[in-house]
Amino acid sequence: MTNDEQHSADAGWIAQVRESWSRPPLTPNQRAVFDERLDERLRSTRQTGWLFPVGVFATAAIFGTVVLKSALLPGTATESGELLRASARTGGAGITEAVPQDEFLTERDIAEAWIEFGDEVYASEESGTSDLSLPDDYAAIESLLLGG
Amino acid sequence: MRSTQPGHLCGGLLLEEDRSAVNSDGTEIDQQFRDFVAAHRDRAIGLAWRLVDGDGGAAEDVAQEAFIRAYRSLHRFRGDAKIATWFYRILVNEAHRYRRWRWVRERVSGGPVDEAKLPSAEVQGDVLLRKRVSRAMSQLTTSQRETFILVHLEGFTLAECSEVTGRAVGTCKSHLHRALGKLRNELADLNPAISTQE
Repeated sequence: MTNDEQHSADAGWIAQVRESWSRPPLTPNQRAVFDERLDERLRSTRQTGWLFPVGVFATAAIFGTVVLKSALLPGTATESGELLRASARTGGAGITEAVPQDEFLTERDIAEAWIEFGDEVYASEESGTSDLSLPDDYAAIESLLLGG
Repeated sequence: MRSTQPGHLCGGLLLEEDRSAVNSDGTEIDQQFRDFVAAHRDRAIGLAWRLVDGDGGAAEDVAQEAFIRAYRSLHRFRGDAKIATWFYRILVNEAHRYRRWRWVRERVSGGPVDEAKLPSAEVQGDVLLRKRVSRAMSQLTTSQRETFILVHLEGFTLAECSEVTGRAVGTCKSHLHRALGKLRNELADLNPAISTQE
């Protein structure tokens, strides 16, 4: 069989395949439904098209802020109590002010309390009316320092 | 690589390309895109139907997704090809993607897609013939199927098929030759006259 004959023979069954294996034409209603659905999706695409870049920018900005803060202010990258207390003890700026002073005693507070206590003991001994004596247990010291 | 008929694709079966669609302001693009959809909708769904083995719902989904992707990517259209060719390339990729997803789904669910759905029930005509064609088509590789469908069933030229599939013209010829060889063995006895009598 020559090429031309082969092409001719093929044309018959190919035409049959083309005709029988095809989707029936869309009805006007099907077209309308398709167009409506596509329109809706296009509208949605237009409306939300700006969300992605904005979302990426916002995420990058937040991430950048956290990283920058972490780099510039060591010890404040987290808001855990440990870091806040550590900052308070060392007299760190900013965060220290956020810590309630009646809940977290600084080393300076404790030192001042001992100094005051010592002053009172000294004064009472000087005046001879010493009714103050050094507490011998920690609970008593703590009670005294915290004013309990 | 270009069609010999300026402004037309596939021997005049498709409507004119409009490069200005990607150069104009947003409103004009929207209107031109609507015109583009109206011009290519039926053909896109028909092509998708064949590429996804006659599943009507999947064909519409694939066509929808292709139009949406084309719309989103209009700014990236470089004008190297006709906008219609560019769109059909997106459509073929979407159909390819759908078939891959269906393959995975079949493996996960442990069984083939319900045969009754292939091709979809809304198609009129000889059911046995459709099943026979469908079975014969399933013996082709994806590349052979795509090439045969584009060239012999949809009327694309080899050059256009090359642009749409992203394969060299020689490769398309080779796929077409092999596809014809396989299908000829299965379907050569089909005869329009016999079908008419049925």
